[in-house]
Amino acid sequence: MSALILAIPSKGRLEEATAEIFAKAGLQLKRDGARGYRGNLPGLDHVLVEYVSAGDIAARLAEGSVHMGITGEDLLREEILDMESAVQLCLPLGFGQADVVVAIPDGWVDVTTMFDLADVAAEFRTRHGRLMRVASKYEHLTYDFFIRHGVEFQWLPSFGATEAAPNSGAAEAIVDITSTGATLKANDLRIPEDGVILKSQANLAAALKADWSPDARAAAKRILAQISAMQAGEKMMELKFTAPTPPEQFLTMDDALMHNAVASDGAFACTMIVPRDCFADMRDALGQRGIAVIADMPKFIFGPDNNRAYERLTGALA
Amino acid sequence: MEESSQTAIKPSRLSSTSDVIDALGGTNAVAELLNIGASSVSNYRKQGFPARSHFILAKICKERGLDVADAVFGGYQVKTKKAPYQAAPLQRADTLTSLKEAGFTPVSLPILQPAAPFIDRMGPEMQRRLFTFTDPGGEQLCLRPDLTIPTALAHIASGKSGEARYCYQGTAFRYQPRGSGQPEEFTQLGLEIIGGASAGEDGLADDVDVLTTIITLLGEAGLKDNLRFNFADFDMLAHFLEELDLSAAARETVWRLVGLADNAEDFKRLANLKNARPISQKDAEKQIDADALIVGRSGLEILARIARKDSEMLDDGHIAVVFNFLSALAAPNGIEKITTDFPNMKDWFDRRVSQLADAVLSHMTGAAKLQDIHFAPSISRGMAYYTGLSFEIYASGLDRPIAAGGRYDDLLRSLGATEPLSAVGGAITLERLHRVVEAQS
Repeated sequence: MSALILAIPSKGRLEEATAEIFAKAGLQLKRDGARGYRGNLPGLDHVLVEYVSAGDIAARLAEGSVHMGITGEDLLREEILDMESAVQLCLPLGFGQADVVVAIPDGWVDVTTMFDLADVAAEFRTRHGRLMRVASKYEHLTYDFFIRHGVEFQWLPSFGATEAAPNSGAAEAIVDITSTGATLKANDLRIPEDGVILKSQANLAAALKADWSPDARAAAKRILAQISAMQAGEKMMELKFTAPTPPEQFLTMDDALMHNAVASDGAFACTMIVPRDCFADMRDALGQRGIAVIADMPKFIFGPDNNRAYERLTGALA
Repeated sequence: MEESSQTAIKPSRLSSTSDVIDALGGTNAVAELLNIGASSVSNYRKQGFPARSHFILAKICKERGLDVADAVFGGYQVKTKKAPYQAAPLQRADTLTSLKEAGFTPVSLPILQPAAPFIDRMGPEMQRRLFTFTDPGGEQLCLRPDLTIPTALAHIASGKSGEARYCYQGTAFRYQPRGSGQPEEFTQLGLEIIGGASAGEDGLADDVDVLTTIITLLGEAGLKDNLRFNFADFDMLAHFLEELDLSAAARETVWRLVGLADNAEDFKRLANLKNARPISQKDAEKQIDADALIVGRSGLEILARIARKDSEMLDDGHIAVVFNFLSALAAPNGIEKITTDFPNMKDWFDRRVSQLADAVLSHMTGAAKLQDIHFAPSISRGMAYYTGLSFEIYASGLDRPIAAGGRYDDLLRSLGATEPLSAVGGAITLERLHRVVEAQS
């Protein structure tokens, strides 16, 4: 059993999004039956895919019984105390975005910062003879953040409809995830200016306590290389055009990742890879000269230092 | 030929931390392998390897063909997670007898306690380390995280009046993250004086009593010198603030900010946050109805807080003075620097230091000097219930206090006492004491 064990969320939106990202990276996840709990990555011999309930992946990574897994940073930080010593966040995957935030009653117009909240919390004891209550499913994230901001409070475990706790009188404030803020608003809640605890998204994470055989390392290297190259490609644009003069005469090449111009018959056939946010400027400059451009999105860019994620992982494992 | 037969001896199984360290070339060699100091490695000989070094050392041993017993790496942590320290050094009967002779009544306190008083009074940092659970009857209970609150509750329940002096020895429980190497069960030997003189009436008589008793106990356990004292004293800040031209509300602000701030720089940051104005009085009055109840707070309460804001703010001059005070206090020769930079604090420090020095230094032999006393505005980050002088006692070779305590004059009232009762107490963590005594002998 020297294979790399990769934990994938077993169902729902997270499973779909993971399969999409892997497919885009040229890694086809193959599940043993639609509801099976095992699978593999064809072409990568030393990988065993396990379909794990999303809530369990953090714990599996923490104990090192899987090598890599896909789960939200919020769950990793909540469920693994001293996360950095047990798990490395290798690559953010760009889905499952959610902010873990503090939300307070909108009517508390005197509170705009966590510092104000600390003030009010201290007043709670003297005025009401009890602690301010904070409802959340995130016990550790809440304690860490509130202690850091000097806010006295009592944690109220809440595993559903947390946003309703203030209006129902169960708690005064909450810590919860939000993506648009609409639910908070609908419940007359507001995020203090410095009340964002964590901007979370799904991550490909590695377990530092797993048994990393050479085969497992090699497999991790491949997976990280493929996804990194795909993500590098997503940031770039490939341009092809024919110009009457060498392109460096009318384009700044500083931003280009690479460029190449071949002279033939008094014209220059050019290929350039440029960051996507420079693309509009380039296109306009070429358009002004009446030059037609073919633009394409590169699927992968493999560069010499493109697999930093793997280098960081081996650094942590050494 | 002789030599080759020497090296051909089959290595025997290494069954202890020291065996492994020696086999790897000694303390310095292992320190180099782990990229840490040699003194840490010396500690490992007694305490075992910390979990984080297991993997790397196991790998090196394997590469070098060393045969290591399982217990040295993985086995150690599992076997000793709950109690990595040895049995307490002081025999229960003896210790409590000596405290009894000193006028303290031994009390036996329940391990199971109602959770609410602890959650309410210990501050969030301790609160999160509480082992809580719901009993079959639905009541929230906890394992006692210290014996001070249980003593206070027992005193209130007894209905006794007048001064009471208690002592105890018992297990306390605090959650520690896995692999931290800290015990989650430990033994506290402590004493509490309840209903004695309050700090103002009789100076520090009871505080000094608690301190000297603890220092005597430490001495009886074989610990003589190399103690270090950290004091925090709310009276120091109160005295300092008296001299400043501040409104009562602004004084309250400084008080709270100093309690919150990690250091002088942090105080400045918080003071500037405090000065931010969220909303004008007028706008607030337009939005908020004074009679309304807005999630646990009345409109009046919210408007009052906004109205108070001006008087609570600190001007730049005041922020700078407090900043300088905190910086001076944190300097290596804090007391000296404070009394030079803030001459009006000199009387206070002279008085305080002489009171404490009599208690602290006269019970010490050897290296203890005034410079071994440190003053901080607050060390009660752990325990939120202290109100006056609080102390921590450190011994060389251990970065956690072996004893701690302080004054908690408003705790009993908040726990249900019918009248205000002043109180002061302190406790020794016996396992830590034992470790230091062993290391020193």
